[in-house]
Amino acid sequence: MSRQRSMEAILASEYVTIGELVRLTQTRYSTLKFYTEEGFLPYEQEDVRLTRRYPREQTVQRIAYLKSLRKEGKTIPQIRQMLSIKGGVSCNRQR
Amino acid sequence: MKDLSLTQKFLLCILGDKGKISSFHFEKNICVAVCGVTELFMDGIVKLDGKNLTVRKELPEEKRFLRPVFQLIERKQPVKFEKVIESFSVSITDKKMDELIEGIEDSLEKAGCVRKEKGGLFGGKNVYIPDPKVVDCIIQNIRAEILEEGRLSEEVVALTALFHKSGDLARYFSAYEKKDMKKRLKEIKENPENEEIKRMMDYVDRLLMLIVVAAT
Repeated sequence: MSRQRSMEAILASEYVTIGELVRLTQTRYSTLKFYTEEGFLPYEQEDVRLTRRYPREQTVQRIAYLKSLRKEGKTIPQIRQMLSIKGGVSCNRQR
Repeated sequence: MKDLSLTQKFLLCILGDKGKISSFHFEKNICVAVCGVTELFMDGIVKLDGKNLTVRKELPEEKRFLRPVFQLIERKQPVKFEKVIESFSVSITDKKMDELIEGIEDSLEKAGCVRKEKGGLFGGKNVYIPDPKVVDCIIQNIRAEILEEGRLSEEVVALTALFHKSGDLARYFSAYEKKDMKKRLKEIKENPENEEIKRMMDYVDRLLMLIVVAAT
């Protein structure tokens, strides 16, 4: 079992977990989970039973973008359309 | 989010909107002391050898709020985990426990995670009102690990087990989520890697039972 990483270590790393994204972006877990399942957030997963790994910079930027769209009053279907996602799994990658 | 230690996170989440632990909730106080020992143990500052705790290295400056626990172990080593917790929880005065909790609360104030105010029944006591955003971030982080597939971190295992013992799981997690959490707690219990934490939690159960029996 491992320890949680410090913010310094998280900020220096290429990939982060969903828990670390919560800490980085102050976004609720349920929101991140929903965005992940909608295909709004890119991630890699070596096996369905293993932790999803999100590319830090790209995902943090995407979350900020999603937040700005929500602030502008865009609905989820509108955002989905803007991101051109069909079926909700366009930007994840399983190895 | 700031890097808070295990004990700082735990206390912050159990303080509640009024910024204090009610004296009726002795189980929460016990869990704070258990959390303090657990943090020292997880950081390799103390060693659990069989049933005895001994000091391995000096307490770092940033963990000064754990000084009451550290000093007690240092003074009485080798000392049983039970004895350390009893020194904080089973005493005529609450002096030791108050010193520990106030130290953690002050560290949280310095970190900007609580707001110090005057409160209590006659308004003469210090209360520490948690920043709800920081509390939410801690809870969301636990949720993100517990409800996802993959390995759990030591902090999340310890926090979940302590919330379970302090009766705070229900405050933060829905009945729907608790179904998944129960499954994870069972995994935590059965995983040999969590043996020390399990032993500590079993001891909390025994101590709580003794206190309830003594009080009735």
